[in-house]
Amino acid sequence: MSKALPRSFTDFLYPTVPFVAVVVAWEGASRGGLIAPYLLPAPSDVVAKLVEARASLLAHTLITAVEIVLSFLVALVVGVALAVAVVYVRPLEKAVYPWIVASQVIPKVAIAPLFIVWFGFGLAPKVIIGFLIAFFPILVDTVIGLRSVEAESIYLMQSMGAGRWLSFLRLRLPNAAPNIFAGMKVAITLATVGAIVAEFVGANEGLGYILLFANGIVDTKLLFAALTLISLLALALYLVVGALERVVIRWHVSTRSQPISFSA
Amino acid sequence: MGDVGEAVHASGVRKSYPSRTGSIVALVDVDLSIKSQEFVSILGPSGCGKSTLLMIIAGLVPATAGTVHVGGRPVVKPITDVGIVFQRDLLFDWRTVLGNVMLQAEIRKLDRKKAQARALALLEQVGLGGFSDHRPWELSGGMRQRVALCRALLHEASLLLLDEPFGALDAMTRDEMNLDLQRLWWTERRTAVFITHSIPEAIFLSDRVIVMSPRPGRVVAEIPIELPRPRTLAIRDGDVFAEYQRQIRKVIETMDVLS
Repeated sequence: MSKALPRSFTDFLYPTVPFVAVVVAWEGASRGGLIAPYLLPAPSDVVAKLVEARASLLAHTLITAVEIVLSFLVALVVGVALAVAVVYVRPLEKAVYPWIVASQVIPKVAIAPLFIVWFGFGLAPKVIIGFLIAFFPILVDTVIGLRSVEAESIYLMQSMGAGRWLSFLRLRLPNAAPNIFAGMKVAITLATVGAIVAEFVGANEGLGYILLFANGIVDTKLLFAALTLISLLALALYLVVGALERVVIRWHVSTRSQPISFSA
Repeated sequence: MGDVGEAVHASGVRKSYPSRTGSIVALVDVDLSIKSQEFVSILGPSGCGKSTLLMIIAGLVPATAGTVHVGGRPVVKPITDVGIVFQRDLLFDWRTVLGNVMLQAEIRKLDRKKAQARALALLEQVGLGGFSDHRPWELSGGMRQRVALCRALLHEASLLLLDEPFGALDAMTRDEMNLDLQRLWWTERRTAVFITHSIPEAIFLSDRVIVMSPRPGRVVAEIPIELPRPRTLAIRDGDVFAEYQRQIRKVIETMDVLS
């Protein structure tokens, strides 16, 4: 009979065990000659590469991070603004919304080269591609959130003398906040995809560029180092959005830590 | 219509909705007159349009025909000198209990300090004194509806509209809510229109019970309730109460609603 471990410890322990196991097996396979190191470098070699090229890798990481954050912010502003327009302006909903939805069948990755032609090699095409990929979930989720308001809640606001603006600010917008955050969480990962793809098609800096470059010279250590950084960057950005969500919508079911109840 | 002492006047109110098979008539020729500070219940079976009538009085739903006056003025848009309690409490999860009550003051731009003092006093009166910082989802259904009641009373509007506010509550909680409502209405007298499908609830609370027919809704009877106030729950065991109940049930039975 063993004493139960504290919950916070097991929460940490359970996902850590398989991670460590995989890394150890990988290290062993690579060192033991099971897999050629130029195909799959040992984790320790990747870490060594990360340390060795840290200054240059950090600079490229920052460039990609700026691209991701900018495309995400543009997607957030445009996505929410478009959603408000679609919900409040009936003709716009009929005329524009179906086309925005339909346009999503175009693989944005496929039109990325076009943006390089149009906007060149700078920051602009990366942000535009990232934005195009990321804004859609924010738009769709925000539209749903803004619409999911009971007619009676609107009546309540009207009986208090609230006009459309106050009803929006005090009712529709906070009501949509959980949906907006759901969209933002998808969008931040899509913005990462967008930035990397944009760097693939035309860039001379950033982690996507490093990936292509390392691939070209078959430097798999560098390739894995860049992959590691992209993953860590995406994870960090996702966690930031998640933390923001927990602060802003503490009240929502999805973020409540434990049910509390009183009886009448 | 400009009658002093008449709070709500409706004449020839009709409401129909378009539908695929022609139009659905919800209300026909409804005439109402409610005195200032009177507590009136509108009693009727589900779907008789009684809630619609209340929304028409509030100016939130337009009537197809007929006119409504509140406080002597014709209702053409949502009236604001009113407090409404809906079937569902409509509390905002992103606000605390106090924040939900204070919404009324914020939208109306009332003096914050005074409004907050009144909000806390109201919450105290309905037994929620210690809950002002709680979130709605931490409260039971009865407690939530009490918060909604406080929100409707905060700004001391002359008209209180209640749309089956206790319909979703269990019988015991409902009794408590009826007592709370009577006390609050008694201490700060105002006109109240209460929608319900419970005969005892209507008798217990009202100065007058208006009985409506099933769809299309019409006023079929008006029964003044002359029971002394303040009323206690025990009054429901008395003969007078039983007689009122019999009288109303007879009206409803002749309409062939309960069968």
